[in-house]
Amino acid sequence: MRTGQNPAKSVNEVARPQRITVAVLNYIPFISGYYADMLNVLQTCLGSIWANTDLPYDLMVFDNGSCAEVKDYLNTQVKEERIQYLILSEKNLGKGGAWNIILDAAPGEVIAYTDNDCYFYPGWLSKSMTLLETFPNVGMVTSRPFWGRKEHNTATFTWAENNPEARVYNGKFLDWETYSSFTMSLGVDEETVRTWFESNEDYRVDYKGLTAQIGASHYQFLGYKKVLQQFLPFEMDRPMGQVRQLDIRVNEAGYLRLMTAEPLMQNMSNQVSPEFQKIQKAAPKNNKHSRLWNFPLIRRPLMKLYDLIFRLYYGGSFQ
Amino acid sequence: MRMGQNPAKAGIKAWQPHRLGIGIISYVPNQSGYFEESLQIIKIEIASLRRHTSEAFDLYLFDNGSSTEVQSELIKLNQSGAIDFLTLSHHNIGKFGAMNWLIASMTNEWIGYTDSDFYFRENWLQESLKLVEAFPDAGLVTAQPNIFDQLEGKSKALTAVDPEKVNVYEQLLETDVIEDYCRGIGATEEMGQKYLAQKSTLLENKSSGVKAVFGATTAQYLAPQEKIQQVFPMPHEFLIAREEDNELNRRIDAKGWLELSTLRPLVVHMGNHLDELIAAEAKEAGLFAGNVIERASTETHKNNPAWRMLVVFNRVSFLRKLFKRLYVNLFELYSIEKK
Repeated sequence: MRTGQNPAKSVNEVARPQRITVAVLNYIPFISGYYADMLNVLQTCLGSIWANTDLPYDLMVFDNGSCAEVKDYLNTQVKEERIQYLILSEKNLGKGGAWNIILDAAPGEVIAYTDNDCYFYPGWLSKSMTLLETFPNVGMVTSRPFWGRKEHNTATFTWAENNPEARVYNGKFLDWETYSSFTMSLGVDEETVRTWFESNEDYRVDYKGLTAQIGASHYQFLGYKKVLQQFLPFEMDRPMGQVRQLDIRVNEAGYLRLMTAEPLMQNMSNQVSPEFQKIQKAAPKNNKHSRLWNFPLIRRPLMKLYDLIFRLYYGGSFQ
Repeated sequence: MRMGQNPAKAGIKAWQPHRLGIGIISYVPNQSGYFEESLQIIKIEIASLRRHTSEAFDLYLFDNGSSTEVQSELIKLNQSGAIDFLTLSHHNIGKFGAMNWLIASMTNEWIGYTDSDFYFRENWLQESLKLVEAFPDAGLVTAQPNIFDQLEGKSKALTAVDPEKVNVYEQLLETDVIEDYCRGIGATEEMGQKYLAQKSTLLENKSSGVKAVFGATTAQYLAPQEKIQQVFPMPHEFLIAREEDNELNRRIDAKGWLELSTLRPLVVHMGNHLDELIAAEAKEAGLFAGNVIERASTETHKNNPAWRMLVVFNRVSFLRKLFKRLYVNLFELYSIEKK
């Protein structure tokens, strides 16, 4: 039965989410074999978000059925205010199933999605947001340039070629280091990467003083939630493999797919190489004011008073 | 860089959602005062759902900013498989902020929602589904007779009922049903008498004979996903507000969908205190093995000086108002800004 009055009914406001939700999808079923260094990768990914994100955001992590050790780590980050929303799935829903939840449930107007093995460089969010907000009808912005399939970007080409304010052009704009560091991180051997580098060209578009590389990746992107929601639901029949549907659906719906002209993120894959600085500590949002109220000599008597007043009005035992 | 092949890419089948998903929103910012028993109540609710739901389902729990101790207990329930999907929010985003999140993320054909303080009895699901089958226009179904008129007598859906197929009439509900309800909400004697004398609107399917009480509560309901997702997202300004609950009822009704409830209480409101009757019911079902916490008496501390001083101060009108404000302020200080 209900005893007393729920004090929550007397509170006149609720927490408001930030405009941008940074969403990380994580899956580390055990800490060995392929996943031996993945907790380290996750920590480095989150550390780079905490350290290098230059706009206000809420961090949401969707854990797709990881082992207890990883879940404990994530829960600690919630307690320490570094993760605002943590979703723990007991089962692996596949990437499509996780996207069905993330892209629908994320509270922000803009969702910046990433896999758990991405390292972000300073300024990645503001520079990506500038593209999202300046170009019209944008579906996805990825924070790094690389070569992509032309057939997934036909809407972007059509828009650019028909818009007098836009200038589309092609050439070799990525240097070997920028190109190879990302492509080889995906496990492709150097000889193959060199062949690709020599045979492919980059396509870019200038618009209102900004330059974007044409293309985007389902691996890391940001977009407006109302746009991304249009492409739900994704099939859930495999843990991985259905992700290219997003690239195809965004293009088919006529939205632009863009990448920043400079590399603002890097793929770590399943190992952290020494170039990535591991940043695990970020300042929680607590201020001195709330720390003072939580000092035990202040908190305990006030909580006792709270309990006494509840019992005074609504009855109850007294310890 | 990538070393080796990710085994997850080997074509292993991903988990598929069940036909039924049930969402719970929890909020236990501390474990004293109003919330002293709330964690235990959540555990009993989940146990009753797992025991008394007649088919496999996915349980989603959105924790709306509970204390770290409570969130740790919920993680244990997630790891044991009692909760399939657990969302831990650092902030309390309000009941409807959380419900927006839950409804958006549930991919099941049937969506069940419950506040975190209901006890589920046997057959709650079968009887709820029976109403949907008998009344295909049903948008919300509660497994406990609805007593309040959330639509304030202005139902569009009720006026659109086909009299050739459905009988609509008024009737007193059974006394034990009203008493069960009143006990759950901690109703005063006066309120109990009012509800006992109040007639409810009933609907009867003429061909099947299935009967339902008109009205449903947003505290516990079952709904088809294709319908409920059409009325979400909902506005969410407050932590909890009657007006926001009523808005959901109004949106369902505006679509022309009926809000219905069962004639017998197949769920019951436990509230924030497990009373003797529900405890006995839970014990009999093997869902609770503890003892009921006695909260009715203040006899044990009547000689405590601090208590006596509070009682004296409480006689002064100004101080009484001050204490009530302090109760809410301390709650805000240590709960809303607990971290």
